[in-house]
Amino acid sequence: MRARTMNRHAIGLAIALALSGQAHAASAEGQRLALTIYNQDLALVEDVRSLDFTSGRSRLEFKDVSASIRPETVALSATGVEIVEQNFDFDLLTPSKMMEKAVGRQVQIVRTNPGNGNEVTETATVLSVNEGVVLKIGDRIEVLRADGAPTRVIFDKVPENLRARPTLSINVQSNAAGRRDATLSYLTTGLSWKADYVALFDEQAKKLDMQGWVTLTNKSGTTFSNAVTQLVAGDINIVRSEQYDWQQQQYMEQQRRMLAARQAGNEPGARRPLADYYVYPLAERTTVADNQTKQVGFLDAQGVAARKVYEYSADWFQTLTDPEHAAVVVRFSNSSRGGLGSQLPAGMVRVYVRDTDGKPRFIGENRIGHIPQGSEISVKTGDAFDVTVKPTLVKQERAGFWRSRYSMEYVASNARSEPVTLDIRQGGLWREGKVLEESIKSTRPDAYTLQWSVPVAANGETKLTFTVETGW
Amino acid sequence: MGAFACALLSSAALADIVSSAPDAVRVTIYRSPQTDVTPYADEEQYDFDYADASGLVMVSETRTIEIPAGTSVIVFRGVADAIVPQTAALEGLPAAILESNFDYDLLTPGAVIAKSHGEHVQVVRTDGATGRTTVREAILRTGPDGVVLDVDGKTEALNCSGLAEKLVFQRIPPGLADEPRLSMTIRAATAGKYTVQLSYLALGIDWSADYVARIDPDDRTLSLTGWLTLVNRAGTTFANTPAEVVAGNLARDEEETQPPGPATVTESSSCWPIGSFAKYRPEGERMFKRAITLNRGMLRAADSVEEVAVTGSRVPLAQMRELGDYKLYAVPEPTTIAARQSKQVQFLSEKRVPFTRIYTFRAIEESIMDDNDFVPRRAAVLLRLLNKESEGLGKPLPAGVVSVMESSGAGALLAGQDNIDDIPVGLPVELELGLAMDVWIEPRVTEERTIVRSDHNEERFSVEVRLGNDKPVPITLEYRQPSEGEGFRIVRESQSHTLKDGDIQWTFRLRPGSRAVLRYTLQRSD
Repeated sequence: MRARTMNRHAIGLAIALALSGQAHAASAEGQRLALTIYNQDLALVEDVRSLDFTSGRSRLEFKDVSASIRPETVALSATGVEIVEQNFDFDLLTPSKMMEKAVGRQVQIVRTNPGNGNEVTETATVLSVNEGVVLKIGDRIEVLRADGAPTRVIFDKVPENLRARPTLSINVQSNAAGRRDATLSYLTTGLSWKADYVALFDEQAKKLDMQGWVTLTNKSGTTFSNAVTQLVAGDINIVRSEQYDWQQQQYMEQQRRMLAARQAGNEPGARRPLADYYVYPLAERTTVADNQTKQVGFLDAQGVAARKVYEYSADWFQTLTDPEHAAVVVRFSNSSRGGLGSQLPAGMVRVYVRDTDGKPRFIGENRIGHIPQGSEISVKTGDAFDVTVKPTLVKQERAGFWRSRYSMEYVASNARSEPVTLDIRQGGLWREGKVLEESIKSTRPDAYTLQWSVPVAANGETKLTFTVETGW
Repeated sequence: MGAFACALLSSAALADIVSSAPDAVRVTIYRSPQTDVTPYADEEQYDFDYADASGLVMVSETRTIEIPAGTSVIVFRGVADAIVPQTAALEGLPAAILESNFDYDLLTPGAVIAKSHGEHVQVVRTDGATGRTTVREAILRTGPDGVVLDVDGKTEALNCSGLAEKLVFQRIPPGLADEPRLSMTIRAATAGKYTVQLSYLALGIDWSADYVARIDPDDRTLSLTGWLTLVNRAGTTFANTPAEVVAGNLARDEEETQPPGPATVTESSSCWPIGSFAKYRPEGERMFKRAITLNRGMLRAADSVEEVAVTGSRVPLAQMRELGDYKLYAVPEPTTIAARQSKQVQFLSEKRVPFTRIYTFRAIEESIMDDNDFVPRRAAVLLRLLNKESEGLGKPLPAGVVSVMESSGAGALLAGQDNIDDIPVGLPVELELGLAMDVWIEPRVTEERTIVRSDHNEERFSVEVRLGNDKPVPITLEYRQPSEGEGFRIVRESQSHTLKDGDIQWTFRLRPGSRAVLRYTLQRSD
């Protein structure tokens, strides 16, 4: 995709040069910038500037656009102005390029005598620039600096199409001369954002305080000064050059969704929706500098109802020699009743607890996907040091054609000084799975999964045993 | 878009308040999933690599800041070099934080050139023979991938002529800094001087638990010493700092929780090729050589795994307390964690911890049913402890490596090393030391039968095992048969078994020089 675009513009270049009666750089004077930044390494830049148009055709050069611009998305609009063509030139000026473009032309060479420092200037014709510069000086053929003597090369002028940085130029046809506002808009990569949440969890009070920050990163190569900025949360479809990237992204997104939202939301969000996405405008104009991460707060909720849960999941019936640690999960809701009342754009939740000295300490982090308001959210913070599970497959029997019977024993241990409840989930039930016997009554979250809430006394252990029969 | 009406917020226009250093720092160190954090002896020759930064540290700094009323920018200098900026939080300032910024556009020669495009510079040339310098005014046309200059209306390249050349700039381009810069834009109603807490996560500091178990001469008890090994791979020194480490496995996202930079622009000269009729030297050669040197360096680093010298004395132990579902150990005194340093502090010292020495053999399928070469198998040596107070221990044991030392007539002897997982109080600890020389097992299948049923077949194996103890002391030997496969059961056995971790287990008490025979028949569905 990109390669094709480049070719198109390279062809357009020759025409542009022929056309360019007068090229003037569109200066940043009176510039007003608006940025709309998406989660997916993409931003829409709207750049309003006052330009002095000449009547008829003229060429405008924009040097201060994003260095990561996607040139095929550029649009310029101003009253009484039509676009003849747009060019994006990216043949960059380097010494070797300059020499290559000088083949067949004359240059000055200034040789310095290493013994006495005397300079001799000669005119030379560049014959070839391959693994060395071959020059014709008068009737002699020489290789530049083959003798090691210092030799400067002076070029008359830089070839037109070599530029210090990629340059966007637009040829316009204006029906009247004069200064007026023009809006340049384009998409650029290199700008992205995500949310970072700070959740201060109080286990005793069963509450958490949650702050949300948007974290903006700018690796586009360009600084955007005093921009009106808004952030869009949601997954918009972006056509990228490689299908693989896209699939990868979808996969990651799926994983993220599975991670956090347990129950989809059912409340209308408070945030202003833009089509099917949510928009977070920043309250003030801001400068998004190149190579900068910027954070602005967007959420501050106190006393959100939250609780801690111990979980252990087994996908299959098997014995483990070493006990496994239960997962510690913080559960809360972003419904307005729960105290949060906001949809949560995708990002990272970092959970802290207050230590005995009252100071917060980090206890773990996990990603969440875009979560609509009113959802149940689970954030795994880590493994419990003191709550362990030891699974043993006690018996595995045949129960007819394509059917098996499994007897499992889970020993849940709790070394804490308070009782805990551990949710054990057993997957692996397939066709017509049924419980034959169990020491604790199970629930069935879905046809293939069983769940037990296992109470474990302080410094105690509880044995969960069950026998299931399932087809396969 | 109502935001147009808002006051302009330009960080350049605001006066910066520089908080140059913290008054006090406290660190809480979290561990990486892998257990071995011991640095290599020659590691310091490698620069700190941001991508390889392991471990996690929460830094809490106390700073004193004087702020004016209105909007201002506070610049925090002296933060850890591998800071994860999106985790920075400020407490104790009665002001709204409008935004928090982290700039990592670093001042490098390449960045100066890249950001000085179109500027007037001076090009200074020094004649190698006479030492005479000439200064010319020039305009920088491009860079940093090969500098092109306009001099007197003509164009020249820099550093392609073979002369001693340099550029002289009039100013540093704005936005470039010597180190990444954390700053916050705040708006305060009143001016004042405040003591604030700045906290953030950073990478590069890690810790691990290392244990030394010394077996007492009676071979019934051991003394267990636990060390916290702190390793600072980062370039920041935390001086005189209360330090804590957290034991337990945190959910982490090592992809997202990363320092973003720094972004450095390097200068490269892309001159035209310098050729000669006589000799042509390919450019690739030099790079190849460099790659080899680099590889050698890495190999050397991998070879020399250095053991940290343990010089213990009677010092107070690091104290443990609960932190949520983790264990937090506080280093007893404020300590200095210097850049590129590892440090050890004792957290556990238990004497006369009883243990049992067990010899075990697990009859996995290959070892008894495949080609039997009639060579006796050796039993594994296991030390079994119970982590209970009544059993002389009863302390949480963070995951780590246990080195077991035995005393012989000639002095201490390494008996073996094993990894342990996080072990809470109440659970058993098993340390596998290696294979015994004088305890052997000789299993063989004596009969194999297939029993044909109406809808499936059953396999039946008869196994005969000879066991022997050639040690001069009595031993306990556990022979274990995993119960694998559907319909598994023991049909016949010469002595009764117990169940252990889902395995069938027969236990033998063998006197010095004695032999025993075990016969059993197992059955399972085909």
